[in-house]
Amino acid sequence: MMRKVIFLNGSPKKRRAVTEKFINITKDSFSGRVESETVYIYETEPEDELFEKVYEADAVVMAQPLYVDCLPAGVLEFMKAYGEFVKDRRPSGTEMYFIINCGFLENRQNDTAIRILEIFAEKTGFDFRGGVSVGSGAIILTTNKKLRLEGMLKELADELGRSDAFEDKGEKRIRQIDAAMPRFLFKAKADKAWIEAGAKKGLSKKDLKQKYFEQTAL
Amino acid sequence: MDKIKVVLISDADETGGRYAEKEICDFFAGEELTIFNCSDMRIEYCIGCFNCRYKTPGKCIYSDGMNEILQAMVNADTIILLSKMEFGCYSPAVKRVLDRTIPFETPFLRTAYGETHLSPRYPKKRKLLTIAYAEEIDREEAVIFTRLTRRNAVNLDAEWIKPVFLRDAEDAGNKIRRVYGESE
Repeated sequence: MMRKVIFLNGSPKKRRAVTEKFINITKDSFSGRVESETVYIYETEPEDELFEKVYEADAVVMAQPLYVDCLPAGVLEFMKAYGEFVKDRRPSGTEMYFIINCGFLENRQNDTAIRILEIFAEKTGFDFRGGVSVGSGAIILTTNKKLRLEGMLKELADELGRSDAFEDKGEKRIRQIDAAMPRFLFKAKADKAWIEAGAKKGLSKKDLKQKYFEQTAL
Repeated sequence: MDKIKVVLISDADETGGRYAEKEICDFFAGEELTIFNCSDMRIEYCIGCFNCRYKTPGKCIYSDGMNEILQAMVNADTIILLSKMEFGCYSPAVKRVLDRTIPFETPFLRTAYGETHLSPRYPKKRKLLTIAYAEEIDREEAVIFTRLTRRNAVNLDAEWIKPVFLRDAEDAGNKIRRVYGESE
């Protein structure tokens, strides 16, 4: 049986996002008979056509960056509208997986957002199956954790491609990974990247910290 | 004594929240209260361009109502978020505002509670109070929302106040009084 999988890219950066990289690594790892499609939340109207597709799919992968400790506003918009769409429908049983990445070092900063996705899944009739939680932003791709991350996305691809992954792998699997480096080192790398980006625009480190709005009282 | 500067970011509309909004106004009568109703404002999505970090530090590429919200937040003693609860999270309208608070911070990391977080661009002692309302709020949603608001307070470098959950508009005032009073 051909499995129908929909990736919901929930990054405002769409095709230029780290999220897109992770989606593509997953897609490239499919071995079974899978028909997949990526929908970009930030360029698609939350309309019935999209909801119908998600409702009918075998599996959906909600892939997005962590924005301000939870899901980006556009993704919440989709979730709310989908919730209304399925209100009077039978649970779809569509399997839900996630890929979430945060720019901070620690993948545990994604935990709240993952629980929100799980609550959403329960309330709207998805079968929540877990996914991959990534910390350290794009920096992880420059470390020796890159291979392990790719391995996790391959495992995800394997689960997406099989209808019997449940028996094999249990109810849900949440894989967590980050650069796992000392905080001072991560901070040094991340800060340096911004200082360099600013320097290209002729801005000093002090400039990057400047106040734009007037602060009257401390 | 100086008046307390309070900024209320609210999504109250005809579907709910108006009663709580009124109660907050009554409670802070006599203080300097600024209200932004983001369900009217149609704040643009943050597009993650990071211009506010390395091209025009502290300044967003958009000039919509978010500029006034940020200016008010900079000098606020207390920031209140009044949001409909959706799946243990904020409403999309309130989240649009939160996503656009990136220029409120510098790109540089600091350590708080054993984790990396962004540094405040406008350091100041502030409080963050969140009030979530819904027809039904189950326990699990309330727990997740509570954790979320703790994280938001750390990231905004604000003092966290236990969130208020409103199922029934009638007790809004008392609850807000109790929780806000406790933090004084």
